[in-house]
Amino acid sequence: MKTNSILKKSFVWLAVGSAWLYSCRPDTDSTNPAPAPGANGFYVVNEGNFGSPNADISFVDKIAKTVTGQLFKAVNGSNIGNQAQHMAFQGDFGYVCVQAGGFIQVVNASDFKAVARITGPTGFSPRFIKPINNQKALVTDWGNNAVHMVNLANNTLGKTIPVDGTPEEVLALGSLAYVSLSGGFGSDNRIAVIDLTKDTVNSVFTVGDSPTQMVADINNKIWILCKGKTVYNTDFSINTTASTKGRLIRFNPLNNSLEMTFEFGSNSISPSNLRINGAKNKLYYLYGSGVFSMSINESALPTASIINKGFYGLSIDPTNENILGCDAGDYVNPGRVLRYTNTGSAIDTFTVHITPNNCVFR
Amino acid sequence: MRKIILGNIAKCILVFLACKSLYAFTDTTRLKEVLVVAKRWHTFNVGQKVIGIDSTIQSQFAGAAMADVLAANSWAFVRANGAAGLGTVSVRGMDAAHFQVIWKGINITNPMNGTIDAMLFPANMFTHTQLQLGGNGTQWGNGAVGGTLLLDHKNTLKSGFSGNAQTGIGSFGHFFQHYKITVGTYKFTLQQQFLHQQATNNYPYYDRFWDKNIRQASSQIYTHAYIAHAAAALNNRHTLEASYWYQWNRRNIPTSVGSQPNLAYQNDESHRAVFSWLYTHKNWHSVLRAGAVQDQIIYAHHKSLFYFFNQSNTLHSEAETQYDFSVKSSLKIGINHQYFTAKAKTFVAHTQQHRTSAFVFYKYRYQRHSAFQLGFRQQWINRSLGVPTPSLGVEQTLYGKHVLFTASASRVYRYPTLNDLFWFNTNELGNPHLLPETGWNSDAGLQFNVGDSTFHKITINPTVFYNQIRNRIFWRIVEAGTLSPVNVNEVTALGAELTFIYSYHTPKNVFRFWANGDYTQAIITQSNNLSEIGKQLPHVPYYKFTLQSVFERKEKFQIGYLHAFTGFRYTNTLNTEFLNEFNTAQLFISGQLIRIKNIGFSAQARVINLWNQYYEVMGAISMPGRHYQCTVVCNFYSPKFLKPKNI
Repeated sequence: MKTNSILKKSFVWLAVGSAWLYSCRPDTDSTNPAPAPGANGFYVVNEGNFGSPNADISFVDKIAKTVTGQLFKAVNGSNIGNQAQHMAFQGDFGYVCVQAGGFIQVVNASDFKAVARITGPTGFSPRFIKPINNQKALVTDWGNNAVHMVNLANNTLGKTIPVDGTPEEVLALGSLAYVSLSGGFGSDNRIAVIDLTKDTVNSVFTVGDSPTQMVADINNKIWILCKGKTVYNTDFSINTTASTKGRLIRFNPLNNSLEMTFEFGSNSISPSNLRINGAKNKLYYLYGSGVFSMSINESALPTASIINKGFYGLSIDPTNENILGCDAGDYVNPGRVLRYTNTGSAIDTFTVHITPNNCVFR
Repeated sequence: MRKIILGNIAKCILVFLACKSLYAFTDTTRLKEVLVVAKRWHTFNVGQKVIGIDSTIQSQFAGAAMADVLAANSWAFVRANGAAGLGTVSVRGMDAAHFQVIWKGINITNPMNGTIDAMLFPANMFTHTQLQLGGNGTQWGNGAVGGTLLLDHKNTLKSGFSGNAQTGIGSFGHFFQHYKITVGTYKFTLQQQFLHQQATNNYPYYDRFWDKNIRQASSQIYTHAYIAHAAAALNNRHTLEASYWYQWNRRNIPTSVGSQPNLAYQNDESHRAVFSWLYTHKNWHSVLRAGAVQDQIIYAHHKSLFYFFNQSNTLHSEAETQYDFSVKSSLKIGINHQYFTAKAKTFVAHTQQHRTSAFVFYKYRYQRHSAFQLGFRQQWINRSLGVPTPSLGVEQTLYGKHVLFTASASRVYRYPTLNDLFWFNTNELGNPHLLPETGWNSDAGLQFNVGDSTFHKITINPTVFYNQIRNRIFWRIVEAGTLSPVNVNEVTALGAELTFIYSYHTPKNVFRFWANGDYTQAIITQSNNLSEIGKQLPHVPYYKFTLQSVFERKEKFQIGYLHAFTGFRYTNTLNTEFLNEFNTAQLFISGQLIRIKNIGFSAQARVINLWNQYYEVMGAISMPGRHYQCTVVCNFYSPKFLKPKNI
């Protein structure tokens, strides 16, 4: 009899407890209203958690100082996918490379509504997209060691251009497109040149190890940032002889020459995130624990940073040359974008979504 | 009876409040003692909550991994990504690095990342499996903060031979074979086990991102394992044991939701060996134990986009002596030394570390079922003095055998892993200046034996626990712009566990109902990020419960149902992202097919994820829906293989 009583009470408490615990789960239905993106703000590309389809684009309103952390989700009901890597605007549309998801998300630039997903061949791993005009763009593909033409008119992939290496970014200048072959997780040291009139690789030239970002300055010279290479001995200690330092190279496309080469000091710290201001006369990059800037006319690398803090990503506001540092934190919590003047004075900070890697201006 | 119960509860609360961090809990199920000279982790566990995974439970999980067994039968939360994914274990609100695995007395936790992958432990290759809950730093030293899994093999000397052969097939190309052969005399025994397992794992699942059902494309697994265990009783005083465990696994990393097929794979290869010598005297005995472990992990890409290689080697040596003053009191002292080396593409060079410990235990059993125990361990890391680790355990019967009160309290610690200290990669740097995580761990519980009779038995076991960890190590972006481990916060985990067991026995039938439930609140109480304070730790469910119901017609058939519920979990420390709760269920039936003299055949069938639930344990890896497995077992033994002689 006592046993039965205990059993009954146990089940009653179990039922009550179950109802309570279900009521304690977080609310899943709360979403923010869609903002009205415009010229007064910028977009932040957030990679999301590693392996999870919760990447998204944040929008920061510089005037109102408000943030919509998950803009795509707010407008379309779900996050943009697994590992958003890069975003670019062309005409009335925005194009987001969702690398692990294996597609390019096309959105309407005015309201951010999803328009189309551009998928690719098996293993398609879109890393960086460079619109050429309203009809076509180039996208780098880590999974197939290729650059694909993207038909922006019907949102499909067009011709595939093998580049015999893992491509990182694309810089279009005139009728040519320069593709940095970074080697992905490995190392490469070449730039492939694509003739945009034929959509074929025209030539390949060698720079430093692991070339990544490229920018064109006001003189139409191309600056190429090379991360350098770390080589290990058989006992996994660093081979200081075979390892190479990062380099910043100025390339003259008129005569295809490497006009200047600046070598960084360490072969264990890699420079990254080369950017240029709106006037195209000043370079910015990350190196170790700081943000550095230098005029395109300098004859040596700067020795002092203008911001003594490292970031996961770096962008420059083309309208006022503000520096935007993307702080990914621990890669699982929402990250931050820290805004500075071009001299390194802090302005403000915005909490965005998970793992911000760069900011985009329309 | 009610007064007795209420009185005990009141006493328990008073003791708990007085000691602040005195925890109690009970041995939910105690394994039957088979050792004449018990190992220290069986003898000196007074006041600790121990869950035994017995052969009945293991038989329900033929061909499964230890991670599956723990998830369905204990309070452990297994952070698993399916058969081809990683499966780490955490208990009582602690991290995976706060959970240690001990095989035959040596710690086999990977020293590089401080965790184990329970998906790599075949469930039915161990005859003794115990989950010790709570801090056990005095017993096992570094990392034994939340719980410890003990894997062992029975040492029974028998004359003759016996064998066990299992083969099974299941959904998604699952196939396994397991052979166990034992030969021996009353002086010597040798047991060998072979396992081969493979599965294509191309299960269909609902992809919540694409909003459609698709098929897992990259989750194949292959496993080969071999375990040999030899024991020899040289005479009445000297006993030798030697064990060797080799395992090789290959698995393609599963594709996550909303992703392209994953082209990464991982190879795990390990060699583990233990040798021990036991000397027994009239009122004392000593054990010398030596072990070696090598773990090798290759994580690479099918198209050679990346290739990572890690290898760690560990040498163990231990000596301990127990002196029994009387049948009531015993003293054990010992020393332990561990030497770690590791190499990886991401280490500066060969990395090494020495850890030396001295420990002492004293147990006094002042009544038949009542005892207390004191323990202390001091460790040195590369000759630097480590964290002193005292512990206390109490067991007290109240009102006859009806109520058992248990409590334990201990200091715990975890030193930074080799990765934490020596990692060296672009923008990812280890931190040689890290402090060890330290804290206190305690619990208290009562075990009520209600309705005890010849046929019916009810056991109710409530337990509360309280853990506090300071200097928690997290990898974060530091000012230098690199990702590095830092001591950032303090965590307090408290909660309650409840076990309810009802069993009904007749000479021919057994019915057993077992329910476990727990509530865990693991809160960040101090942090350099103020937004984290007061938040629940990621991947710690507030609620988890399991139900198990089994009916057995003795030596004929067995049918059972298991149900497990896991509550929602946050996935980051700011609690902005979370995963939904989920239920899983399993139905199993097994029966004796035929027995001819000393050869018997039996069969088992399992329906896994009976209700075909879509769920994710960790982020973005969908688990398989309803699937099936059938196993055929053949047991045989020689006529002489009857009278055991335990050692």
